[in-house]
Amino acid sequence: MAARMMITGFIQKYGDYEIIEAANGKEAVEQFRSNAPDFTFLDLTMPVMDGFEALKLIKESDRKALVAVLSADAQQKAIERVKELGAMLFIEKPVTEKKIHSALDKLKAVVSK
Amino acid sequence: MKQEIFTPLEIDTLQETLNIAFGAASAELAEVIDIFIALDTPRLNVSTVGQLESYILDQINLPANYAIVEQHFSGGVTGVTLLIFPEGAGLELLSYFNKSESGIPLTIPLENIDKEALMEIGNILIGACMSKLYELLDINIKFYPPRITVTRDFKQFFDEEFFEETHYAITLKTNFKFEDNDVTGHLFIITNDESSSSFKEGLNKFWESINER
Repeated sequence: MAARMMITGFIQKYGDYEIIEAANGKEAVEQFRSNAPDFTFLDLTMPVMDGFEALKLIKESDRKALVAVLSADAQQKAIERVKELGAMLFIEKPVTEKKIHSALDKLKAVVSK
Repeated sequence: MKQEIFTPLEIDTLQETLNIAFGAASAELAEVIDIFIALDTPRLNVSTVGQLESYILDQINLPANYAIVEQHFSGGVTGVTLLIFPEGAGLELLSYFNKSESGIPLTIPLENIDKEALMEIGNILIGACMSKLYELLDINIKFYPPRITVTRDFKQFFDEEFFEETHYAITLKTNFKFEDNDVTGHLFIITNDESSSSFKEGLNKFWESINER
């Protein structure tokens, strides 16, 4: 909840986006499949289903999905694993407005190509 | 009283700060030994002091004895951190250490190598996690030297004067697993309700700092 509130606030400051939230990895995959978002911000440490599994399933649903992974898990192997699974960006927590806005700049640049 | 100690947002934010702190600690340990640590979602629990031991036992669900690295702390928040492994886990993890760098001489008795390996891991995980956690919350803490004990008795870690029956115990906990060899560990940071005001102040500072960056 706290992490989602922070990120939602930063996104709303950036621009006018419809934001869909999920409380865990399983919900995240379900929401992705139902709503086909332009961008996804995905935590790694989540209950029910972790971010690695959720990312794998999201990319299986849409291999072009643009996913930015947010995580407190700064282990090099975690970052490598996330990139292997197809995440576009890895953002290390704590999340800041600057990090989220920078990520949105990059995600937008990909979409507008 | 128990229900009012923290709001849902405060609980979630404290859990998130432990998530960040333990993530940083895991990364630090992974630089020392070539290992991947699978992290779990941290949880905050408020219980009576009388319920504390059974709460911990319910969470860890390990057989036989436990190897516990304990470190007490005081200052803005006072309490104890427990890093709990199954007995013998140190021997499982020993292979990750480069013997010449770790300072664990192979000449010491086998039963002590187990404890030495866990102390090395505990020093890094607890030290890095606690430092990061209280940095995020801007709380000044003094740490006491860690110790390791093999036991099933948790009561010995709770100072009777600090953990009185009239107090509530506030526990932040997270689980983790060393993936390659399936060793599971548990971290518990335990204080009492007298620490709640320091936590609340720290959370306000945390939110302010996030919004300022």
